[in-house]
Amino acid sequence: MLYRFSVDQYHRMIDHGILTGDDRVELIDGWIFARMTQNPPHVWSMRRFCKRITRELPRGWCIRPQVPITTGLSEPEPDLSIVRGDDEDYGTRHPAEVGTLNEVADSSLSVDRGIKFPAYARAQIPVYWIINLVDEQVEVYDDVFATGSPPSYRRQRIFKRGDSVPLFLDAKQVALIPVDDLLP
Amino acid sequence: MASIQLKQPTTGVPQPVSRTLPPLPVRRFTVDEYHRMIQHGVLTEDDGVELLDGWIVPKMPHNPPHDSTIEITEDTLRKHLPAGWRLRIQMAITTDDSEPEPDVAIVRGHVRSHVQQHPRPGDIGTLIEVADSSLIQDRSVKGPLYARARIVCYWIINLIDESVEVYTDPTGPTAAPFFRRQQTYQRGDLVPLELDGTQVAAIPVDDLLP
Repeated sequence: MLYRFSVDQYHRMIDHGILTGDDRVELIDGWIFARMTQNPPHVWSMRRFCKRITRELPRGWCIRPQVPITTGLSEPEPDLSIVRGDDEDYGTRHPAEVGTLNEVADSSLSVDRGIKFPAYARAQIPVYWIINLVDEQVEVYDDVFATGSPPSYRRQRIFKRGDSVPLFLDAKQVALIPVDDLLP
Repeated sequence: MASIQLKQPTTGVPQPVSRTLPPLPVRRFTVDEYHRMIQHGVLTEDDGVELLDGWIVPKMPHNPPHDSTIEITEDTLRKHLPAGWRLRIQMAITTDDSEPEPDVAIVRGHVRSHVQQHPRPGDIGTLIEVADSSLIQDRSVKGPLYARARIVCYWIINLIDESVEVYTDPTGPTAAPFFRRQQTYQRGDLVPLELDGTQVAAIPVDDLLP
């Protein structure tokens, strides 16, 4: 039973230097989490995904690794997010229009599923991927039900090695990514 | 969940007690960061929180038996308090890692002693929590916290069992801090009130309970 902070309080803590650049943290549903440090498989997977997707991203979308996304209750720093617009659009504010949000999970799996899952649903992130290094699969959550109790994604699909994962933006499939391309 | 051992020397049997705070990688805060959050208005009085071992935790809401017991205890103790000691009710104290607001604190000094800084453990003669629904937290979260801070004497006025638990001889900052001596007093018993190593009164348990 911890005190929960608003996005506004979180920003003020950053402004006043109570949270600094050395603090690897993110705000999820009012809780300030220390982000785990990243091991090589995690980093590899992120970079692979980024390279793979960048080739196929339609105009009007950009991919942003580990930058804050501001929603009503949270300011997560997902491993990767595909957001509407160009990099220049987000110079002074955090993007609130997210197409897909992706986390690479090894030791963070229980947080990515247990805490971030309802938080991202509540924030109406339309599609949430977990690149699950523990079970060697990609989990795709969509059909977001933001007002559920708790908020959730009604469709949950699992893609194993040998499968290909469709990437949808604006309800159109823009790419098909082999799972083997994303797992070390 | 991590569990800590709260040793109870009177029975000789250690009892595992689980922490009531979540085992998530939550960012914890120092006393200094907490003070700056208050200073910059990130946290205000309306937020009703305490800093316990780095966690910012909402205070328990008050119910009538809890608040009345504080008043009863206050009335009783005032009759016995020697000069140079004051009673503070639900006001903050500061330790090396926490800033709790105990229900009652018997504090050395005069009315203007703590204008700049809250009392520190060395200023405290006896610290008292009134416990009903908070009993587990008062024993297993605040107990070790106060023992780590070397609070010399900690009472829990236990409304569930109608008793007063007195904890003394804190270990200080060890891996699992605890009070080495514990004594429980029932209705009809007298609780010794000790300040600075001297017994100044013997308080009937009945005068501390509703």
